[in-house]
Amino acid sequence: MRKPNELHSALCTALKGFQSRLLLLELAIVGMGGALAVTVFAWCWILLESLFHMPPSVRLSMGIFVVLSTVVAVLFQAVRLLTARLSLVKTALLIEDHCPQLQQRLITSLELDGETRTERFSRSLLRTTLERAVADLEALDLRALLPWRDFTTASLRTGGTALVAGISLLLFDDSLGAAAVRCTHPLTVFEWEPRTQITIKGEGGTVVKGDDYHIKIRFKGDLPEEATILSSDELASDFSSQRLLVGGADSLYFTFEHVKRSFEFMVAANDGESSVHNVDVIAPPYTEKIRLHYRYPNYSGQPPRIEEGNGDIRGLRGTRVEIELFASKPLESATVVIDDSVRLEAEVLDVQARVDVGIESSGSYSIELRDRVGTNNRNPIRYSIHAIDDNFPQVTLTQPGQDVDLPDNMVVPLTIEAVDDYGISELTLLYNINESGLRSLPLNFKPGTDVRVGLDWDLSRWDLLPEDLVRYRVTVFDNDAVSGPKKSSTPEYLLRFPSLQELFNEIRDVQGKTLDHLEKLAEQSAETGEYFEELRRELLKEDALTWEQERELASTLTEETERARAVEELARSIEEARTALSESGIVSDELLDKMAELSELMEMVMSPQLQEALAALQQAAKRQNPRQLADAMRKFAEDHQSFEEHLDRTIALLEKVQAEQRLHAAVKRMEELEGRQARINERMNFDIGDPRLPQHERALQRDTEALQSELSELADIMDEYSEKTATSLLQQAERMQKEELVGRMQKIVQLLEAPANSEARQKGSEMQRDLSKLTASLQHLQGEYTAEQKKELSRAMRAAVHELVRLSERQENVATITRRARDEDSSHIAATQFSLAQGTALVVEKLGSVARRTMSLGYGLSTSLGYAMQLMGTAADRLGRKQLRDTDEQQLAAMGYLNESVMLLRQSMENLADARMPSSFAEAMQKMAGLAEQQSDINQASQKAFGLQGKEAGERDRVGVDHQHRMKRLTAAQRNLHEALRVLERSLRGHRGAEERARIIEREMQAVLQDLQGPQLKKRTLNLQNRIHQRMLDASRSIHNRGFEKKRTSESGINLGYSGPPWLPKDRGESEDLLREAMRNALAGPYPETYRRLIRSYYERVYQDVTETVE
Amino acid sequence: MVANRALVLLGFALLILERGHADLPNPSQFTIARVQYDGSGDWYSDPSSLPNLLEFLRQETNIEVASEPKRIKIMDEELFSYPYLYLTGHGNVSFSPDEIIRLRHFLESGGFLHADDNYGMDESFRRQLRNLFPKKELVELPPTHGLFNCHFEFPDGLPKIHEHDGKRSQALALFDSGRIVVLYTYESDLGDGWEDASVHDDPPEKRLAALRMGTNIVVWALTH
Repeated sequence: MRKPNELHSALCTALKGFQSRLLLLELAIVGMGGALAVTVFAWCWILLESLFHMPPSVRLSMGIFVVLSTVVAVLFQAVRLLTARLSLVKTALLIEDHCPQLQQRLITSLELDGETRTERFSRSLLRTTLERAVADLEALDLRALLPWRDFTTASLRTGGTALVAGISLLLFDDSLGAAAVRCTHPLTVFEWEPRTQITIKGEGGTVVKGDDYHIKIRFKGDLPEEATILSSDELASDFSSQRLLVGGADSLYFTFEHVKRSFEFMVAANDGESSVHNVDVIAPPYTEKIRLHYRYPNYSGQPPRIEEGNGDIRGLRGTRVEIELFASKPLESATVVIDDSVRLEAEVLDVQARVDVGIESSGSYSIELRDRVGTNNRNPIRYSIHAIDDNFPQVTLTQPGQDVDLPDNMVVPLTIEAVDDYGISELTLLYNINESGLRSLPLNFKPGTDVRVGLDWDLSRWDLLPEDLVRYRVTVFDNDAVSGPKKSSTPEYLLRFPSLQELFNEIRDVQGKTLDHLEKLAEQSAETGEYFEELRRELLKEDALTWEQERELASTLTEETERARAVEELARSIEEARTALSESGIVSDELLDKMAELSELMEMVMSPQLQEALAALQQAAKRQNPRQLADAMRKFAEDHQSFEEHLDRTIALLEKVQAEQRLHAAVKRMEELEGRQARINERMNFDIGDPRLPQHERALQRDTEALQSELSELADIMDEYSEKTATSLLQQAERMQKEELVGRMQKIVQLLEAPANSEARQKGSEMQRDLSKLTASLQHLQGEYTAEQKKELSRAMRAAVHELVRLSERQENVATITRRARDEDSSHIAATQFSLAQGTALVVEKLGSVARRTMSLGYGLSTSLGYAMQLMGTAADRLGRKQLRDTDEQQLAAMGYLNESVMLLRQSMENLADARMPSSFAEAMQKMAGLAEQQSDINQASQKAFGLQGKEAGERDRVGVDHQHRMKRLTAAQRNLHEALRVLERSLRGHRGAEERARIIEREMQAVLQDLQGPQLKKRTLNLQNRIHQRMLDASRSIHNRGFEKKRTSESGINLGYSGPPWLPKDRGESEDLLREAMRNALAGPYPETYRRLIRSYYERVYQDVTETVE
Repeated sequence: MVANRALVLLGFALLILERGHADLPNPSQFTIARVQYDGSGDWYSDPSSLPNLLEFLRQETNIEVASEPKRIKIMDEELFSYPYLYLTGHGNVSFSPDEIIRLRHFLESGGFLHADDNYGMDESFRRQLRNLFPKKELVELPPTHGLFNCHFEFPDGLPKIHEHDGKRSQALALFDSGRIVVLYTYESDLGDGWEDASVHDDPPEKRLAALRMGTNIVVWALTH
């Protein structure tokens, strides 16, 4: 049995245990309530904040309020509970309330226990009560009495409220969430959240330069009608704005186009503004530089080339090009896209990339770049590819470059020029002789792009005959190894083997026309002369010209000028004919020389004096001064007479030259006929069945017949110049007829055409023999004619010389008499002087006749005689007027001119004696060559003197004597030469070119003479002497080398390609020389030097005897 | 190569010494002897040409050269002292029978004659060659011949220095037992190219080509 106090303790313990658990639970419920209150207050606070966006003070106050309210409420409840639950009695009462079966025993026990101790209750009762109370309490499940339900309710309420608040915050993040944030920072000042919220969704904040940047703008809250985009790039200081029409929509798309620079932007609408967004511009890779490495096809011969330019490729088809590009930034990849189809990946190294492409055709390419962040280049540039085709080669036959006749030597000089852009590989001459099939001749040349080949095409081995045709052209191939060699060709040209007959006819036509024209001119000129004379007389009578006469005079003067020009034109045509004749070989050198002179003669017909007279006449006609006009007409008439005489002489000479030319041509043609028959005979021996033989024989027959007629015709013409020659020519023609050359040739033709034609060979040989005889006869005839002509002319000239000498002697006598005579004797002397002048005129007339037959008489002679006659006339006139004083000087001067004429005439005679060059001009040139030789000697002496002068520089005494002697000798020699040149110059009067040349030489020689007067020889003098010598040589050659002077000019040469074989001939130009070999063998022996010299000397003499020395 | 040439030159000079001629040139120095001939031709033309060529030889080769050329007549005693003869001119070239024999002897004994057509001597010189060696003919040296590359390269053959007739320049050679004894430079006018620049106003490249070709001729003559 437990003691009361134990019971009481147990009771109290049980109650206290219950009390504490109850308290805890209720405090928890209070806490829940506080949490609920906090949640609710806070939510309300947040709600209020979200609604009103309160300032920090209010927000803080409300926060404090919420906290304080909650704390107060919780404390109140806690205090209330503590006060209620800390009393055991109240606890017991609580239990009693819930457990009525306890019948207040708990309370009683607790109360009695207190009073018993004092005085009123029994202990047993108390004890019993205690025991029962304890027992009841122990039996009682006090946990059931705890307010678990309230606790659960409070928990659910609090948790639910918190959950609702949390969800609302999450759901309304923009408003409630933002408000919650602000509430958690009550002291922070937050902006007022606008009614319209704007959010922007972009493309990640980066854009490739040049691209568009797209954004989506979303509006919340108060949806605006319009919005503004504010943007600012990195270079701008302010934002620029752009209005957008929104129209109440909740979203809008906007594009920033072609963005160039990084920028920031924001959107504003109503009171809302978006945050500021930054957009960074990324630069795409681009090509900074392209370097093209060209490697041309080997055949082009072009070296590799590197080009840095605009990237355009331009090259020969087949060229390989490595494109080396430099990008603006490191690359991931680079691709060359050709013609939008072929893609070539480049080898990339940092910012560089290389790719190799071939130029096959023209087109384009572009380059795609990708940087290491994957950005591609934008709008790649399209570069052009220009494939250059290898052009066709060009070939030109610059010489002859036209259809020509075959020259005598059968060698046709060809000059071929071929051009190609990359080189010539083959050059071939293709030719076809008489349509017998195409033959080819490969031409050697030095490979290159510009080829010039000179070829002396020798056709002699084909044994061509007159009228044979050779068609030829040159083809050229280039060296194109890519698309194959390309070929070009020259036009086809024709080479024709003309017969002399054809050439002769052609040239004769031209000359005939020239002669006709010349004769017509002479006729017109004679008429003009008569007209002027008549007009002059009229003028003397009337003292003035009528209007009609003036008009007629003007017209006549114009015609006269034109006639003079026509004569010059004719001179040119004669020169052309001479060139043609020279090329054909149809005439002799002598005749060519004559023609050259004839041409000069014609150029001189229109003399400067006549031109001056004509000009003076024209001036006088304009001034209308009758006296001046009459004087001018008189002067013109004099010169015009000379003009007519020249013209007549020219015509006469031309006719004679033409006749001689025809004679020479006849001889040549006869030679040619013989040669042709010989070649036909040779061919008959080789191939008698050659179908061309009858054709050639027929042509020969035709030309023989023509020559026979020509000889008869020529006999008539030559009759004027030499009866003997004319007779001989006629005899030759008759002989040809008698020997039936034409008929026999016809027979040969028939034999050649017949199947059995072996007889043709015999007939051919006979014909050749007869033709040979005829040729010899004609050659003899021509020789006789030349000799006869020379003889006749010489005789006439010799007579003239005698007469002139006599006249000169008489003139000297008259001069002597005049010097001593008195005035009364003057008339008698005048008569003598006059007769002398008349005598001279007679000689001049005779020489005029000679001049019509030969060109040996130059203008120098006529000028000298002219001066002589003029002086004699003046002297006679003065004597007639008894002016004896000083007349003898004119007489002596006239005598000097007569003597000069004699000398010139002698020179002309010497010219005639020389068959090679029977003309005065040619002789003068020969003399010039002689003078050149003398000048050469002087030059050598000068050189030597100059050398000695240097050596003797230190030996003053010797210089004084030896050098002066040398200088004197040199001066004398040079002066003599100068005099000779002056004489020569006089003989060249009228030959404009030669005269001018001689004058220049003479001037330079004067300068040399002046230099030689000095104490020392100068280098300049030596140079001048050398130049004189060269000029003399040039002048002496000029007659045969027209244009020589021009070629002598110091022009730099141009290398012309070598077209021969690239090797030496096997024999190296050495043919077997037995005598030299013998000498060498003899000298090989071990002989002493003296003996060896003898051996050599012996062999050399023998060698000299057996070999012909060429002079 | 050049040393070899110099040795050959020296050897030739010693050979000449052995022959015992008087008035010998300095054997260690090479010079060119200009032939003084008769016939009115200007054998003395282009006076500054040979000194210039000798100077060029001194600069461009190891050949010991004299500063001045020599003038020589075929009948001069010291002819055999000069292995290299030079002949030029515009006019007539004429050799007497004795000169022909002596010149032939000279050439057959190892001498060399360079004839340079200064325009105008062609006809007469060829005539003299026919007298000199009646059984020999001039042959044109192709551009592949050693003469054109023995010292300087002339792939196109003989350069043309002056224009006269528009003809091609030709290096014509007369061989004796396989050796060139006469070299005739025709239509080239090398001598004008060797002259002082002021004489003909030739472009520098032409003058240089002429001097180089002249060098080749000398080198060839001394080494073959």
